[in-house]
Amino acid sequence: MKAFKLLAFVILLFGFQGCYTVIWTPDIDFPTKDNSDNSDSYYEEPYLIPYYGDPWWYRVPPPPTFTPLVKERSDEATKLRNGSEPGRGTPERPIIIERTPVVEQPVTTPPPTVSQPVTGEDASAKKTESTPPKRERGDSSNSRDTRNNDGSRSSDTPRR
Amino acid sequence: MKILKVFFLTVFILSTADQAQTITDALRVSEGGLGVGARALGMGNAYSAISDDGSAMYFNPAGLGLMKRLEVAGGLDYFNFKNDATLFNNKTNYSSSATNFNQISFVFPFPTLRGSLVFGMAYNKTKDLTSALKFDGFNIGNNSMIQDLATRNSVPFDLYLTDNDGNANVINGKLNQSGTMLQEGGLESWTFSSAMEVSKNLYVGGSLNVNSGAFKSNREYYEDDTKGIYDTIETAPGNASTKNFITFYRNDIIDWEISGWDLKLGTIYQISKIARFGATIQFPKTFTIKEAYDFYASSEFGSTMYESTYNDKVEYDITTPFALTGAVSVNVKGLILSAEANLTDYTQTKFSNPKGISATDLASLDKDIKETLRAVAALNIGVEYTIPEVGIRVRGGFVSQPSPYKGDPSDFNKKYLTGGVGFLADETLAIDVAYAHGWWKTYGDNYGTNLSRIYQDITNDKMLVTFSYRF
Repeated sequence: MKAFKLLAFVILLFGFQGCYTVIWTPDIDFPTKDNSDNSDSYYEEPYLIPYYGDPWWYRVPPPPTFTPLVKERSDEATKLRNGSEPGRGTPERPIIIERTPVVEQPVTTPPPTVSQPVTGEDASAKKTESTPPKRERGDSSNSRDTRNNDGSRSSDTPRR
Repeated sequence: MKILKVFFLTVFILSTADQAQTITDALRVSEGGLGVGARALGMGNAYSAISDDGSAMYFNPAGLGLMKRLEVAGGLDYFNFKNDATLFNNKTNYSSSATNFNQISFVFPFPTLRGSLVFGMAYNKTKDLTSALKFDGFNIGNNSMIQDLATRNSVPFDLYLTDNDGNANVINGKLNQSGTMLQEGGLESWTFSSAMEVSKNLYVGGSLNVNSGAFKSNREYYEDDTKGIYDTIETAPGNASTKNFITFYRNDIIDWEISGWDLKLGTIYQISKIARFGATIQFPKTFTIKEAYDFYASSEFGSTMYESTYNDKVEYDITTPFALTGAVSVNVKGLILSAEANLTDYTQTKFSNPKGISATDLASLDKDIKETLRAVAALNIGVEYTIPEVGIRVRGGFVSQPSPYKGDPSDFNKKYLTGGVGFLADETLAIDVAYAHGWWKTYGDNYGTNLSRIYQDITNDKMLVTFSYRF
């Protein structure tokens, strides 16, 4: 039992990352002379310093930057996702149109709805500013917009 | 010559009473060796506050944290042991030597944006157990190994050197005593280490050592009636074949298979280009000893020879004490001065887990250890000077390992003078050579206390070469 405790202590010691040391991980820039901070050399002689002081990783080309599979979503993107009911067979997410109070206007030909598909974070930037279209019964996409358009449910309870 | 052979697969008495474990067995694994790495040895092993190469795993694992480059290192050593022995004013010398891999190590510093995280593994030959002894002297006293054995086991009886009751009443000393003892083997470890910088210039590290080793001792001992004192006497009264006693001979072969593990923790604090301070804690090492013992003895008379054999296998553990080290090194414009002290309380050495031997015997031995041994502080000092523009470093050092026995005078302390040279080629390859010369006195009793004492002047020489390549 004593041996196991000591062994566990050693494993913890070996796996422990201290508050001072910052190790490189694939999702951050590879350490170079410019972006890292090395401790002082103990040796003064010019020919000893490279032997004892220069990190080996300064001499190798940095590996390609790793892009993580999961990225943090902004609140706006979350709104979009929750508002579009993904997985219901709609390959392209419909545009969310901000709802403004309906104002009775003379009957005119409605301007064409912007219906270009948007994806990802760009979607939030592409909220249309166009004049709201006239709603008609049976327009399912518009009914979803209505239900989710206050944004409170989705923004208050993010999934992550 | 008429030879009668009497073979005995003797009873337990021999193993428990004659070939019992001794304090020497405990010290064999608990006293430190000459370490690993030629740079360290050249500096008198005052290396716990330097430790910025693969040998850090042995001296102070925190030193690994100072390393920024991948390193592969290996070393070879030559060890020669000389013993000038004196028995009853007669001097004899003997020597033995061994060549071994001293070290193979690999160090991997993990890329960091700040600080350090370094891993290493190594094979280290931590101690050479080679030794030799030869002695030859006439004992004018009324004592002998035969008489001593007769009080403890049946071997003299089996060899017709006692009366029918087992009493050695006839043999009464005045024999020539001679013999040799050759020992070989060593302790080695597979070491897994890691170190990191936990605060700016403060490093901590640990080494887990998986220990193994082998030891073999071959002792031959003779008692000869060189002066014809027993020519006409029957050593076993009533048995005419025991007239004209010539020689008693015994041969003891001990074979150890050693295994165990231990842990060492260390820390180093560096003050820029000025100084480093180091400290280590060596946790108790537990060695499991699987011991095979073979014994052969014979008595030779004018017309007869008797023989006795015995062998057994036993197992037990030896646990060594804690060892604490404090160290400092100072860099004065290329001149590095280094010193360290190591405190070991040998009274804490323990035997345990007996298999095939008596637990009470081991308990008694533990008591003897407490009463016989003491706590000592070993001192190491070293110096290294870098010759500017040349790329050569010269080193010197001194080691003092006090005798662990209570009451031993200072000339029983082990002392070593060391020196060395280091070359650095192309900022990647380091070649280091070290030489150590050691000397001390000791003694050993063939039996009893100061009845047949062998005074020994021991010297040994060690040459060590280490190659290190950094990527």
